[in-house]
Amino acid sequence: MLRFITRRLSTMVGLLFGVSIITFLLFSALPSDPAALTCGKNCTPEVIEQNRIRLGYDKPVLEQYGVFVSGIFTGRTYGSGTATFDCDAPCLGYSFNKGEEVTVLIGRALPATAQLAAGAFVLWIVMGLGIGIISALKRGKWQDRLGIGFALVGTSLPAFFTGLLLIFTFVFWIPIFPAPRYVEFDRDPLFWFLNMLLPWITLALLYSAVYARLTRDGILETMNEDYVRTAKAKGLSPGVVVRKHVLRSALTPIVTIAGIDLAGLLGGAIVTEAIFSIPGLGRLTFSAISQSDLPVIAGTVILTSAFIILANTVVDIIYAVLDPRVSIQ
Amino acid sequence: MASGNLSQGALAWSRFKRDRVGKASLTIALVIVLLAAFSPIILGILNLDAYTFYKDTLDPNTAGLPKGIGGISLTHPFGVEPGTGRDILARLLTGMQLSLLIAIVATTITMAIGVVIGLIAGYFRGIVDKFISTGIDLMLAFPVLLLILSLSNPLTQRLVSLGIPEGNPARVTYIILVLSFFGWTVIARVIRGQVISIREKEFVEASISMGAGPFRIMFRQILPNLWAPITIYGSLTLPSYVATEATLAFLGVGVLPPTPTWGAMLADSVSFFRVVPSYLFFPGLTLFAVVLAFNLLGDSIRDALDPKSIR
Repeated sequence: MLRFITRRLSTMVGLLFGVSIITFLLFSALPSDPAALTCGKNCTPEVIEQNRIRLGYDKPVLEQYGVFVSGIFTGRTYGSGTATFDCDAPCLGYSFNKGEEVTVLIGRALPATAQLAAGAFVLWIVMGLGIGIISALKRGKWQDRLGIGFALVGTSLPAFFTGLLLIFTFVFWIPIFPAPRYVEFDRDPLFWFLNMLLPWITLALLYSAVYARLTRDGILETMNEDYVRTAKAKGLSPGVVVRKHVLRSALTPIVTIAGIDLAGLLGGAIVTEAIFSIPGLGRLTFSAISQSDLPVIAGTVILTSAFIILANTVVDIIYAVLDPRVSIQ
Repeated sequence: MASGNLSQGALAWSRFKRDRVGKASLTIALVIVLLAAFSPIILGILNLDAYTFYKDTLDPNTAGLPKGIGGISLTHPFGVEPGTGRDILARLLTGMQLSLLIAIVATTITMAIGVVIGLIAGYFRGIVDKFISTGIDLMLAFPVLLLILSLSNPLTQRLVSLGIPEGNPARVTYIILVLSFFGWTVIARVIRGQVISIREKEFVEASISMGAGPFRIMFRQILPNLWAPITIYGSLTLPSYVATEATLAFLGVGVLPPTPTWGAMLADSVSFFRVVPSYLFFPGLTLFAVVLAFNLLGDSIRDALDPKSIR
């Protein structure tokens, strides 16, 4: 077990290293010049050159990468002599467009995205598993057809269309909800909830469709296993068989996907955040892209990948703890 | 089933023919493709054009809003665009050509890359497989949408410098390339899994003993056994690309105006959707219907090819 965990953790470190170096190389190969974006109207070739040296963009790419990585662990200092400023660990770089550290920008945007992701996650798990279980138990009946139909509709609707449809229906046509305007939770909990409900539903519709299908197929497949037949044969009630014997094995693949989906969502839901004006990571990155603010883009790309890799590792280790056969493979 | 010596394809077809949803969605999919292919002729008969400004449909008293409900009339059954008065039906039909073209070409490239890489990983196993699988893990960790958006401008310029005409040709090429580049991983994984088991079959062993080279075995002997997963995943990738193209256009990575694609129309309709909802609904519902039809078709193909699947 310990060996499995060590191996899994070293793979994780390797993947993190790979993702960060690819991102770094990719963005430094782009033709846009981050130093030229630092001074706006006051740009003269001398200022640009000065800022290039101050930011370390004059160094070879691999050296820049080294400084970047050590900045994550120990922080880094920009510039030299008297005109220096510190970027404390974990330092993901400095945005000259916004005049702030990337970590500060991300830290400000992350709560909104986390609230969006967490609420949507709860909703889509409840909806997805609920619909999947009902569909499987009522296989072939109208409930099943309705469930499959829902899953197909959900996967066929792009998020932006669902979101706009929800806004049109519940904000303009039947005005139940206020016009989308993000309010922090502690300022007005009720308004916050009303505002987050539509974005949660938008994301939940998109994701729960896939989960409903996986749950249904997983349950139906497990129902054919010998041990389920044994459980039935020894006289257990159908409810106990489903709860204790079928679900446990049918839901394992769903745990994997749930972990990765949630992690991916924590990196920002660009479309949903744009439609519902939620000031999260997705919005931050989207505006950074339109301004070619490379440090911010690279920072969020690396952060999101790190979330996904971390979630993968955690899920794998949980598996190994729950099912010792996994770690022997 | 009394079908002792039917081929696998004939068996699948006989299963497919009994699937009413499958037949309906196949019909719809064919109609869609034909509509796209013959859209110039259809528009000629209707005497509509995607680029003409039908100014008389707009209300001069408002700032260019269509008359009546979205400008819907007998001549313009889906209404007109606010501001310009261009016919929405004509733009939908014209846009369908490009939307479908992007999806079909990208799906073909995606499948080709995925199948070749999956074959190589599954056939050679060992260090080659390890290398490819790690690469796939790495690619799956990236936030794809974010990369597609941020690389759009520089890579489109790079394509122009490689000789692809500026404007829409370069933009469409970029969309096709990124969709394929980020899409093949899932297919490669599936194919790899299949190849690992097929590789152990006797006919492969026989080929090896007769001295066939690895590439001959992979492409002439194993590949023909993979058409079921290739068809299934191909038919499910296509609708997802139609939807992704729309999402990308919505986020600003799309063709230049005035060329219509569904995504471009939807992106454009957002600023009007409160006053002219028909402009959002018609492209949106068409997109939804097409994606749904192709998804249903993909499901039916899966059921027909894989009798073990649960329905």
